Amino acid sequence: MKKVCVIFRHSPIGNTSSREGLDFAMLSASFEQEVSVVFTDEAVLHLLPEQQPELVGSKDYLATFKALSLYDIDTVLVCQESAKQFGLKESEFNFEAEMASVKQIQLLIQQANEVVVY
Amino acid sequence: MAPLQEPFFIVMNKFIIQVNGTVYGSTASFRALRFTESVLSLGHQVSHVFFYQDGVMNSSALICPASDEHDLHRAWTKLATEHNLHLVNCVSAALRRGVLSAQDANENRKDAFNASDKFTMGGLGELVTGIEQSDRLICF
Amino acid sequence: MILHHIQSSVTADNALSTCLRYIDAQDSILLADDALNCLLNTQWQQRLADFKLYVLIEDIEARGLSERLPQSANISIIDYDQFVLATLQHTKVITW
Repeated sequence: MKKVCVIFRHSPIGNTSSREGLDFAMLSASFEQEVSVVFTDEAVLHLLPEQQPELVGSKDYLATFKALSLYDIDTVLVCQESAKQFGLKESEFNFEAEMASVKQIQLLIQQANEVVVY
Repeated sequence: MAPLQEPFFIVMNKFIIQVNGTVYGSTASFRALRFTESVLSLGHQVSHVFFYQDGVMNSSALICPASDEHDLHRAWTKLATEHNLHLVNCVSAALRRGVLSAQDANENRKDAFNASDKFTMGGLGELVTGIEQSDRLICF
Repeated sequence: MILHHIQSSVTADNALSTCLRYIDAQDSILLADDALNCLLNTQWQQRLADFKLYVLIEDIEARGLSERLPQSANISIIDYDQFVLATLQHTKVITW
């Protein structure tokens, strides 16, 4: 078993990077890896409620983020600095995630065996 | 060849290489190829090269660059043949991008397939187990 | 000790800026592909001055930058064999 940290740094709509990163995170968890997830930069917008990706021809994969805890992915951190940049508050998050300082995220990155960025 | 530091020369390490960059329009796949060549020439092991995201485009046997251009598809298949290297496509990433093996074409009722048989269609599970079993994961 | 692998230009992508937000003082950065172009800019040179940097010789020569990169003690020019070694000398590689 390895500690795998999956960092999302791209916006939810407009590219498919996060969708394929999410597939990787869930598959890693189902293969018994210890998976943690970080949202930083524009990827903090994943946490926004009421998104309708299908209106612009994307699959609504965002709903799947709500299933992270079912896959035993319990560490889900949102970069506080990025959230502030995009005017996002913790009370608005549409799935279970925790606002985290740069230091907390640094620590998670250092402790992981592998860190992949999507 | 660059001077090698002894401890690293003696210990054989296992690498997994992940290629996310497409075959034309980015240099990621080229750099992944050069890196893989070096890993092998230094006597290390490559568990497999896993093609994900736009990286699956590297497996299309229909890639036809002009004769004065670099043919990355051919370079990967050549390296795989010479070193018995395991090239694996993520099948779902490939299907979404119109990269199909003969079997995929058959199952999806398509008239043609384009993935070279040097590339195996696999699942993300192969990436995950590859990462678990390797000393280093390097993404391009 | 992490090797951070950046492979896009700072003008096209904020991979390097994001990396710098989370980097540890002992980590190193490989500026591959167009990422290395930022070394021509004095502001970026200053931002990166405290980190050990690697640049691939093929990337430099392909871009005609051999004489233009700053002569700085923190920048190592390496080939692919040395890139492989660098990945082993660090605990892991993060490709941003």
